[in-house]
Amino acid sequence: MLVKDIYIRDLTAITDDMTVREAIEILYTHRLPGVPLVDEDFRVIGYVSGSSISDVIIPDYVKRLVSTSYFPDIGILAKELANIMDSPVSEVKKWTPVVEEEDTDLTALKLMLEHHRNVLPVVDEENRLRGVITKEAILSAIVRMIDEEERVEKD
Amino acid sequence: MHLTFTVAVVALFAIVYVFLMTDFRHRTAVAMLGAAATIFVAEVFYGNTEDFWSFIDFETLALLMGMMIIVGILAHSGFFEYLGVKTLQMSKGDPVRFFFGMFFLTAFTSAFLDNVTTVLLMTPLVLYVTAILGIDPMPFLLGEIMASNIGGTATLIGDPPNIMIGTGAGLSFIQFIKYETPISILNVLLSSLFIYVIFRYRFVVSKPDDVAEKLKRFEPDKAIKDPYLMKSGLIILIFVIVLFFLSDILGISEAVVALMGGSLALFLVVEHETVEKVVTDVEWTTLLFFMSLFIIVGYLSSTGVLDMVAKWMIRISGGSKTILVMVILWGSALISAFVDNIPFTATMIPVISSLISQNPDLNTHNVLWWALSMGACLGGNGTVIGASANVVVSGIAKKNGIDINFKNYARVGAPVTVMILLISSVYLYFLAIL
Repeated sequence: MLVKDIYIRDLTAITDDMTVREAIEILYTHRLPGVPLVDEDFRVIGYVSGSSISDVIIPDYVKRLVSTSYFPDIGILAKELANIMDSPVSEVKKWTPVVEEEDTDLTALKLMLEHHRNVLPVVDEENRLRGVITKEAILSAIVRMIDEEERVEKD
Repeated sequence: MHLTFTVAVVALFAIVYVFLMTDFRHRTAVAMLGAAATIFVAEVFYGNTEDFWSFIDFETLALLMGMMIIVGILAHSGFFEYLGVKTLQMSKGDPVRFFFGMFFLTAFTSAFLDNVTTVLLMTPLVLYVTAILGIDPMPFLLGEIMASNIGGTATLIGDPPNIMIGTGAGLSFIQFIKYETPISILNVLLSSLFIYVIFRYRFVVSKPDDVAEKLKRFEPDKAIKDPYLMKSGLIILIFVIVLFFLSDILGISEAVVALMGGSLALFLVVEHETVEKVVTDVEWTTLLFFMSLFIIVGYLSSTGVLDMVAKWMIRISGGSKTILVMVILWGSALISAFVDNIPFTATMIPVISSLISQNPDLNTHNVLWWALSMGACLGGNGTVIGASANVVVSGIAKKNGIDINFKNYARVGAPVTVMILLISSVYLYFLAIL
C-alpha cells in the first residue's frame, strides 16, 4: 500500500512566525498530537508537538531524577512555560522525517516508530506540505483493504 | 634492555599522555591504542611476549568492577535520592543545614561508593531543591564536587587512585582508615566551612513560611523505586565494608571481597532485565582504560626509566624525607589538577615502589603512598576539569543554565585545594618525622 492511498489531505500547519502560545492553541483546538512547521512557501522545516514543547519545559535536572512523586507542587512547569510562551515557535521545533506519496505504508510506519512520532508530514518533490499521515490512518486503511479483498474473493 | 626499545616505549607513553591531556579523542581509545602499539613494539623487538598479562593489575579491576555493580544496584533502587530527600527533610528547609547535610552526605557516600555515580544522582536533586527554596545553587554544586573528591580520599575504595595505590602498594583497607580517614574528615569539615563562609550571604530563602509548608508534603519513601533491591544492595554493601575491615585479619584481599559482594548482589536480583541493566551500567570503558594504562606503564617500568625518575626525585629532594613527601604531595596535586589522575597514579606507583626499594627508610608509616594518594585525589579539586566528578557536575549544571567555568570555579576551588593541601602537608610532615 502506498502513502498516497492513505494520507490525510489536511494542510493544518504552524508557520515559523507564530509563537509557542499560538502553537499550543492550534494543537489543542484541532486535537492533534503534532503538526508540521512550514515556511512561507509551505515547505516543511520541522515539527511541533505536545511532546516537543513538553521536552523543552521539563528541566533537565527533573529528567535525571528517578522519580518526582516525592516532591510537592511548586509550579515548575508554569514557570518554565511562562519563559518561552511568547517566544517564536522555532524554540520548540524538532526535526521530522517526511514521506512522499509514492512511499509505502511500511516505510511510513517504520519511520514513525523509530522517531517516536504520531504524525508524519507528506511532501512533494520540493518538500512542500501535501498532508499528513498517522499510524491510525495507516492501520484503518489496511483493515479496509483486507476487508475489500475478502469481499472480492467471496464474489 | 635495547636502547631503541626504551626510546620507543617512552615515546609512545609521551604521545599517549599528550593525547590524554588535549582530550583529542576518548581517553579509553587513546590508552587502548597506546597499549596495543606498545605490545606491538615489544613483540617486534623480543618476539611473542606475554609479559603484558602480568602488567595488568587484575585486583584493581576486580575491586572496581565489584563496587560498580553494588553502586549500580543501589542507584537503580532509588537509594541515593532517598538519602538526599531525607537530608532535605531533616534540614527543615533551612538552606544552611541542607548545604552542610548534602556536603557530609556526599563526602560519606563517596568514601565508600563511586564519586561519579554519587554526584550524578545528587546534583539533579540539589538543583531541584534550590529551585524550591529559590536560592543560588552555586555553593551547593561546588560543594558536591569538593565533597565527593575529598570524601573519596578517605578510604581505599573511595577513589580510583586509592584503589590502585592500595592494591599496587599492598596497603590494606584498615591502613587507609588509620592514616587517611581522620585527615579526610578534617578536610571535609574545613572545606565545607570555607565554602559556606564565602557564600554565606546567598543562603537566604525569600519566603521561609512557604518552604516549611511545602516540606511538610515531602515523602522520601516515594523515592525508593525498588525496596527489595535497596534492601539487598544495602545489606551487601554493609557486609562488604565489614569484610574490608576484617580483610587484614582474615588474610583475604579487598578485591575478592568486592568481587564476592558484587556477584552476590547480582545473584539476589530477581528480574533478569535488571541484572542486564546493572551489568551494562558497569563502566567497562573505564575498566578498559585502566587495563590499557597498566600495560603501557608496565612496559615503561620494565625499561628502567621510572627507576631513573625515582633516583632523580631522591636527588632533587637532597635525600630529605620531608622534602620528598612535599614534592610528591604538591607535585601530584598540581599535575592532577590538570591531567586525569588515573594515568598519573598508574605511572607514579612504580616510581614510588622504586624509591622505596632504593631507600626503604624514606617510607616510614607508608608516608610516600599517603602523599601520592592525597596529592592525586585532592589535586582534582583544583580546577573544573581536575576530576571526573567536576566534569559531571559542571556538565549537568550547564544543561540547566548554570555556568561553572574555569574562572568562577577556580575562585573557590583553588583556595580550598590549597587549604586542604596545607592541612595535609602538616599532617604528612609529622608522619614523616615521627
